[in-house]
Amino acid sequence: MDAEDDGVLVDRCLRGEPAAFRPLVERYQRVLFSVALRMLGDYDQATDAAQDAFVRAYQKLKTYDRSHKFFSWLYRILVNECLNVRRARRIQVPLGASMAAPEDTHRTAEQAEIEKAVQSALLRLPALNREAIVLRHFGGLSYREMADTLGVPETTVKSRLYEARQQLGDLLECWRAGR
Amino acid sequence: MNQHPHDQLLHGALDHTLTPAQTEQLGELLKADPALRERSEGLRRVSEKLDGLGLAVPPGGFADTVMAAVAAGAPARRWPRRLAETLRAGLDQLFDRRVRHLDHNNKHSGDEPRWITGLAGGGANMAKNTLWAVAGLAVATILAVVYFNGPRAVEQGAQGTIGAADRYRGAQPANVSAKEGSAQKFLQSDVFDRLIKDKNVRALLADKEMCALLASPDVEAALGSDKARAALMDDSVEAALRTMKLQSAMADANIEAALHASALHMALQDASIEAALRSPDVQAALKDAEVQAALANQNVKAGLADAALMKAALQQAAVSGKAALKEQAGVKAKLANADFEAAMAKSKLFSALLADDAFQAAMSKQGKLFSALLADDAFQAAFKSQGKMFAALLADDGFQAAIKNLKLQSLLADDKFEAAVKGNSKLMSALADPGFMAAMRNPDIAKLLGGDADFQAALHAEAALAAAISAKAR
Repeated sequence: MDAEDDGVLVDRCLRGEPAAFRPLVERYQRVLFSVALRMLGDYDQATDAAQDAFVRAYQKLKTYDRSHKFFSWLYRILVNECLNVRRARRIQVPLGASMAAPEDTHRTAEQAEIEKAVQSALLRLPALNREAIVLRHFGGLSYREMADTLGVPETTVKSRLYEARQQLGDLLECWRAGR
Repeated sequence: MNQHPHDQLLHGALDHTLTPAQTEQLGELLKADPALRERSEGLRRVSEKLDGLGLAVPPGGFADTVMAAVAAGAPARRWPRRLAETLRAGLDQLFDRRVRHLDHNNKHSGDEPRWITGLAGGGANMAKNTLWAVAGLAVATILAVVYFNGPRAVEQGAQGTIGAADRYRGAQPANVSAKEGSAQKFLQSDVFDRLIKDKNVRALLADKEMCALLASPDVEAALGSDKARAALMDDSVEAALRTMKLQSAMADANIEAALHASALHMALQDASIEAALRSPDVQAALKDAEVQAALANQNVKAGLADAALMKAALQQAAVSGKAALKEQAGVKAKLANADFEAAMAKSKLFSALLADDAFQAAMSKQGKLFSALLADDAFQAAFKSQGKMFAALLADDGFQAAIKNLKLQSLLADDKFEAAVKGNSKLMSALADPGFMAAMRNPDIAKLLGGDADFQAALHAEAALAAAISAKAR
């Protein structure tokens, strides 16, 4: 689905057709939730943050600047929501049972262990670096889109992303050595 | 952190942003530099592990919850733990007790806090209202689920969760009243634990008017029902809470007004009503696709919601209805049962359908539909075995009101109709109608709704009829 379709749905919402917002939610719910989950590391908080982001986006739809892609705008709102959650709790929630969705039971034990390690390592990254790596790998954003979403130059995005990967690699190496 | 001289190329390869020339350049570099190859491999493994996590699956009803909040104009909510702390403080006041809880920051268990309480007696009215507002919310939720979404059976697989709630059902201290003990059990249950973390519930709890309503004496009286409290332990409540229909319904001022009706609260204390509405047969009938399809029709909806239209139809019913019946020579022989004929002649509900223009049009061109309905074994069996009782019921205004409500429930289960329902004051006022409530308290009706197989069969037959009307109207 391209940005034009998003724009049409946004127009319909703005014309007083709130039901037109549902396709947008359904289109981006999974990726937004994934980004929130990887940034926050808590299933319930990620749910709250992602849902709040959608609701806030709907409430602020009039302020949406058509020169940007809708999902970039949406991601920015989500990132702010995640920041708010993080500020509120003031701690990083470690990996725990709250991380996993109930339907994740089909994973093998080894897969689950690796995923836990990766998620745990993600949560140890500096916040700005984590945002970069999450937006790239789970949001699927390009450098330009990441720069747009985070409000920083592309060079900064690249720098954070490279650094995050390196840090993540080091953390995972430590984890592997300690197994 | 210092960047490696070739990071641009290494990460560009991972992100698929390299030009062909850059790709070739990187290949040459990797061939010549083992350390760079190792670095590249390390980054690739990291990237693969990240991608291996994939996209997470949001909880069921995610979009519904968002859309409900959008429809209600509710602000985004957060601070679940703050709310929980407020409630806990209220309970502290209520029971004058110390509430100990597990460490919120238990970093390895992943468990949410669970309360361990010790009672010391005493209490404060304000805090008690808070408690009952919370419990009342759950009751109101059940009401909304039962009345607006139709009764729900406990699904296979959900039964195991009852055990989790059961483990809190220990003996209560002697100085605690039965009501407080029940509330305490609910507050300690898994259902409440999840319920209180639900976004929709939190939004509702933040609504002052809703809290005032839930703290009202009527609601408190409703909570006096053991059945109602037992229902609070049902995990299906949690699933129901996450539906958009509930959120939309609860956010509607008309629904709130309906919930204010004392008659509703009284009706809900009737155990037979609750049992009836939980009947799988009733639920199956109400979820019949034909019923839903028929009732989604605008004409049918308008007719049901328009009292004047119904009245006009009833006035014509006796004559045209009976005549229509008698014209069906093919099935007439099967309907020799005197009780049945009397029932049909007196049935305002059935006659109303017969007097419906769309139905009559359908009859004139597709008499087969009606014949098929009347020839249906289950339909006939219902009348033949319960003729007199059915006749009385069909002629009863209260029964007709009840039937209308069943249809409304089916309507509300239809997503497309949902938007039309919201804000329909006529429809909402029907829920608060004393006649309807009286009918719902009628033991005979409750018995029929809950356990009479013939009546269920008749409901299905009515579904087929309604579907025919709807199809024609479309």
